[in-house]
Amino acid sequence: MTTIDHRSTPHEPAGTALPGWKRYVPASHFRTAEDEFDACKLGFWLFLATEVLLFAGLFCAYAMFRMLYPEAFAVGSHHLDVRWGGLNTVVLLISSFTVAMSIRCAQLDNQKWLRINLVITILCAFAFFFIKLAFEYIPKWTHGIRPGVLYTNPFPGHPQEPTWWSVYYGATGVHALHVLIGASLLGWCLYRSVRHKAYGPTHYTMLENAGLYWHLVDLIWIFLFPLLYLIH
Amino acid sequence: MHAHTAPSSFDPVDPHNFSELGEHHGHHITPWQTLLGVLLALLFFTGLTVFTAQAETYLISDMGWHIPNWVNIAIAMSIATVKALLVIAIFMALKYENPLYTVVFLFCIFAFALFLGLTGMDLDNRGRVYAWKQESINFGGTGVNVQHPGGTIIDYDGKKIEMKLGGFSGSLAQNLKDAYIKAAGITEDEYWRRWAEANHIHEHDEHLLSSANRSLRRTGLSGALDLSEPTIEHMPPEYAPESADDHGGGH
Repeated sequence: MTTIDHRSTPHEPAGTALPGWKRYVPASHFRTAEDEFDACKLGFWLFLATEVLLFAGLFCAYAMFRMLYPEAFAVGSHHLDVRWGGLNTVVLLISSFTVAMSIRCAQLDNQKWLRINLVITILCAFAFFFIKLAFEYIPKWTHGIRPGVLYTNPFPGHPQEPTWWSVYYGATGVHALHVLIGASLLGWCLYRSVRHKAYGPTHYTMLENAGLYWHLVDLIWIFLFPLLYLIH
Repeated sequence: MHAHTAPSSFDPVDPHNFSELGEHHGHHITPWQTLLGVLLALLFFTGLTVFTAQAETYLISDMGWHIPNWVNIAIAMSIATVKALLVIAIFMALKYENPLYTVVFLFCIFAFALFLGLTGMDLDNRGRVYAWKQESINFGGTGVNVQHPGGTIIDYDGKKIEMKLGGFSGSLAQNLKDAYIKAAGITEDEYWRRWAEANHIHEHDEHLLSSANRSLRRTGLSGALDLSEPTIEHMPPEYAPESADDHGGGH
């Protein structure tokens, strides 16, 4: 039993062909579905605020350590390949566009393109993670370029280079975790869309919030990319 | 139009009759042309920021220009801010939404400014405090009793090398250098040759090293932040960061 089935009205005869979004009934303490949507969305924006503050701590660490050891940051940044960072930026931007398009499709009841856009978004998420892992994390890790006291590379360009790598792995690692969580949320939306036609003009709360989460992931990367790859 | 009609009965779900105050204006559906336009703008700005960063590196290293470091940061961050505003306003539809969400978001920016401002003020002014109570400070950061987990790395010639420090004291970089020389069985000169190769230091890359003197010499940082001068012992002069005195030191 999924949420959709659980919330469907008992008056609906079994086996009805109505799509999930038409069968959706808001929780009983809300006056209308509209009120429920607004309340959910405000709650999600408050959650996004806490997410921004989480990353604010990481950006703060970047700024302070950069202030203390600018040359270590210049040397460390020199090890990153701007082409992988740039490619990942493009991948995330495209996925942000497709998730916005999928929400638009839900609003217009275009079920087919809603799913196609979601599939493209999820593929982009995995492409991002794969590029990060295969071309950045793993080659660096095998050469001993690891964060903090794990740093084992015998050729640090600067004695404080491990500090830079702590900031790099910390910020991109937490971001990559968000990429995986966002992909899971969107995957769940895709499942519900395929299985129940869960999203349509009068009900697409979860898709909207998962989309907002995904845009936040994109937003964070928009700042991480220049800070890590471009500023020397 | 219902605003002045008396409620026919008391509704426990809506005791204040908010439902009669006004119509919901419905959800905003962003045209696909707008969304696509924003995507193209974002891609353009990504290209622009990469291009300006590369152009700046070229001007500094190949043309010998002197561009202050903050220019690089200001350009990159301005472009990132424009991109972020596009995503927030159009993709996240904040432009068309309840302004309350904007207030929530502005609060984040405010809190972030507090984080940065207060932490920066703290770090930047510690020197004064420590100068004042200099005698009572116990400087840390010597690495005494730090346990290094060790690990196998792939050397630049493809061979596996076991790096083992165990417990050590002093700078991590220095200890790694010694351990590597021992494990690889090479001379100090050979170490520095490999070091330059690993750090992509070629003849035309001197600007990367000369930027080192931008570092401020700071006193009185907490033990976790290493106080020692950023040098590796016996670093050959051609690799060593320039002395701060060459650039009007006195910090």
